[in-house]
Amino acid sequence: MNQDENNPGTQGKISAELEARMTAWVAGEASPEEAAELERLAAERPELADLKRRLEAVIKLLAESVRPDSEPLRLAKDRRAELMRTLRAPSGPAADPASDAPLFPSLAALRRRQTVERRWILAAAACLTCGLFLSVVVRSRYESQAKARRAQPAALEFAKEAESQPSNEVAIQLPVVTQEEAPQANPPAAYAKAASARAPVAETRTAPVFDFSQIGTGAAAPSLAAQERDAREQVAAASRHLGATGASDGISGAVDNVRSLAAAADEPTVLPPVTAGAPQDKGSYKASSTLAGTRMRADLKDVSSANSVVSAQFLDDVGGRNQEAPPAAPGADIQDQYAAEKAEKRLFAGAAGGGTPGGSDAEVNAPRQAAIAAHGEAAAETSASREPVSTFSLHVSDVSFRIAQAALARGEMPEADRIRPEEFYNAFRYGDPAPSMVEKISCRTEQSADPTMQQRNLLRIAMTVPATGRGAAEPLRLTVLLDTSGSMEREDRAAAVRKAMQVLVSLLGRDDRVTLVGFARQPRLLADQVPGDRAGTLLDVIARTPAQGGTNIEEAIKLGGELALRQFATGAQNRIVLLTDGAANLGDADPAHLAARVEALRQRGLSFDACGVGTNGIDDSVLEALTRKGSGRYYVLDTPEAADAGFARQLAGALRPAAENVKVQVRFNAARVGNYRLIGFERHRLRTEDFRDDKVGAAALAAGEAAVALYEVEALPQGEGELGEVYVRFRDTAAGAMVERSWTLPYDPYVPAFDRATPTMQLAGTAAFLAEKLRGGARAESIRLAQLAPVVNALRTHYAQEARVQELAAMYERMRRMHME
Amino acid sequence: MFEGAPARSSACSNHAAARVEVMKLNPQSIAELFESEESALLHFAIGIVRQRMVAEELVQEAFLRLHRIWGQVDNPRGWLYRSIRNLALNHLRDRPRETQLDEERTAQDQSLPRDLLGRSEAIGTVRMLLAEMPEDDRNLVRLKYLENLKYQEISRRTGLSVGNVGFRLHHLLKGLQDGLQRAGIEGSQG
Repeated sequence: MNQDENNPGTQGKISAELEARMTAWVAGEASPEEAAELERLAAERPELADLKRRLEAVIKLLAESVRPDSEPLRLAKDRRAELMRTLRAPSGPAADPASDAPLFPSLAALRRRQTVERRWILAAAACLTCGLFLSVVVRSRYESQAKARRAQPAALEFAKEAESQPSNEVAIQLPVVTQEEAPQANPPAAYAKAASARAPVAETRTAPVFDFSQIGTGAAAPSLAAQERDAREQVAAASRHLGATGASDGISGAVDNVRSLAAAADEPTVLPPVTAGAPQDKGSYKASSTLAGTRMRADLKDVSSANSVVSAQFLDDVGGRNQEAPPAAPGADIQDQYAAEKAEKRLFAGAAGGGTPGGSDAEVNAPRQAAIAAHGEAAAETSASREPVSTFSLHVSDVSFRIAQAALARGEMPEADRIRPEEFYNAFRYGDPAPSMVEKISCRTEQSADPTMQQRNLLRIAMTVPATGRGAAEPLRLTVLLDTSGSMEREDRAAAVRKAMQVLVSLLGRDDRVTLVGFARQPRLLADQVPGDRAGTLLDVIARTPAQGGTNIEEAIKLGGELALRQFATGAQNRIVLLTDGAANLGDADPAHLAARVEALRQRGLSFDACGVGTNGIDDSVLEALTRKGSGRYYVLDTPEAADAGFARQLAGALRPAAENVKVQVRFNAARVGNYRLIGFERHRLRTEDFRDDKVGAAALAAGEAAVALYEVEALPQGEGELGEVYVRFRDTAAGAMVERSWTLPYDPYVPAFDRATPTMQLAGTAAFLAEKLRGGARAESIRLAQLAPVVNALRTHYAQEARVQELAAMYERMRRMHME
Repeated sequence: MFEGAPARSSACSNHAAARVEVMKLNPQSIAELFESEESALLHFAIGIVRQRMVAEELVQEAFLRLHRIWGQVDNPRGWLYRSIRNLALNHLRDRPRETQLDEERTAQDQSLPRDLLGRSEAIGTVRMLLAEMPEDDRNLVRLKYLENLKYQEISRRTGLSVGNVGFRLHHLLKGLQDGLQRAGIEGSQG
């Protein structure tokens, strides 16, 4: 029970040692003298007698709990038989984890079965229409042009057929068909169509006899065409850049690519899942009146937030009556400054969105962060009764902290849009306990009063991944994009890069492969698929490469992506690392386009990390967005000295994540929590349903790494139950399986004041407050720096050995001096 | 709830890991899980919703849901208890009126006295908390409170020192008590 330390007050003044003795006594383990002594004590002190009574009660319950039931109950015969049939069916395990389509008849079995049947019929009709329409269009076009074409190998016939069309046109026609169909079918039908076009769900058991494979292909065709064409263009471009040495490789790579693309297009995974409507039922569960009649005790407390999630999911299951228009809501994404507005018109994005029926911008941007860019909104609280669920990708970085620190050291104010509070409070090591290997992740929570706001508590949630040995690590397929533009010639930067590459090389093993691309105006392949144990030669290559020219990140990512796909290995860590010191100033430097390109690569299994060299010139927002879209790491390399332990740790963590796709969901109990606010993580927020959608990418954690999230929570003293529950879901890289765990967030009526809170709580809180202050906006005004002075002083002495905390204290002093107060 | 789990010695963490793997690989074992937990879960659900029919539906629903995500759930037993509880509370929230009107009748229908129902919920909650504990701890509880062994004997079987056994059991009890309190069940009422 990890909350032990959070509830110090519940046992009154009884010392832990005495408690342990009492337990032993109650368990019948105490010696006669000890028992007599304790009996005497219990007679003297009523709280001890009380403790004894409670212990005995728990033990009695426990003893009953571990015994099998004296009168075993069984389900009714029919129900039991039916359930057993289902459970014994082998179909179950996670055939399609993202599928939220109903699989089984259950609570509302009858109504649901009807709906399902109707759905299948409509889906069949719709898909047939689609298929017919497509085949007519494709066929007629094809025939008109077929004479002009040479004979093609049969293997890729369908893809080629589609390719002979202007693929954009085909891609657009499918949505049109779908929309024309929509009026004559009712909403569930539209949903079913979407679902069937998306993928034949794993419903073979209840499915009427109907072959979905052709629909799958039909839907995939346009995207396949787009992908293939895209690949050809990119490969052609790549082979141009590769020059004489790489040309033949490029061509063979092209063939491989097309094959892998064809394979990818057959899989439903390419197509982003269609969203079910937002849950309407957000009603909060109040235990008092409604339950008073039904439950024994009036003081029953509970967490309701999880319930509303269950019920929303249940509604979806039951018949999807709740889905009006999917929240395609371009509005949500417009706020994301990197929403690739025109992405679907670009060829490479066709891979992601080409085959999506009704593909809007929101659908194209698969990891749909509901980003809140405006500062005003970042400061806004959420009402737990209206929106009890808070979901985000648990991303760890310290870049924003270091950029702000460097700016303040120069006597400048850091730019407000470079301040990300989560990267402030995640810049520190809190020493939270690491779990055992079996537990896979641990969670520690703690609370204190919020000194800057009335009636709010700070809630720190720390997740820690166990430290693993390196033995089980996957091999690496690394593609390094090294900026060789003129500015990199500066002695300190060159030294920092040299040092960084040394660290990198030292982390590689024999099974790893590294491809090195240098880029300035144009990218150049410097070394191709060097085995890890010979990666030392890369250092010589880099030393010999002159630095000159501008920075064309677009071309670098293009070539890097091609090369990375060529050395792609399943079961390996496939990553691209970008090292750059400056802003993209050549080529297509539009952040949205670059981000869309990285995202397309991520969907093919390539993660994207960025390392900024120097905190001054780097284009922070671009690099941050790229790594966010690429599910990768973002770190900065300040000085050659910085490329030491910390950098090596970050790099090793990035290269060998222990947990991938780490998402956190906090479900607040609206009966206990009024408003809440997640501090930071604005760009990492996810939609509620993304939590269990494993195709939506999220951040990774390294072995032994801890990640912290900080909430401001309004706990209602007159409320009921706990604060809520926290869920975490991630892919355990060692086992290759998704893991999900949850913990209760306890309600503590006696939270300590901020200046009496634990040092870890104070540290996280102070870092968050400084970030908010630097970021400005509504929230900053309520933070008075002078008020934090005692806590900062306490931190300075408590963390005397921690350089980072001393830096934080120094930042605080500078902020106070610089007209902040 | 331990009848399915063989006795383990000090190497139980390895066993636990192996067991998780087996359960992930072998979808058949959801049926075994059903066999072993059916009665306990039914008792638990009845303890909360007070209606046998509803409780059966909830148990069925929970297993169907688990079946759908089998292999992704780390601790299926703990997941089941948690789900039953959520589903049951959900049911109470969604159908307060129905239950209020029917309660007298249904409670008699089941011929289960009221305090027994409250007891079922408490025991179910304890089982839920136990299922969420690490395997080693659960093993300790089993040795102490099912087999009624002395610390000395537990120490011999697990390889832990006597002091350590006492310490861990003490913390287990405290944790359970906290968990029960949070779930709205006072230990003193047991």
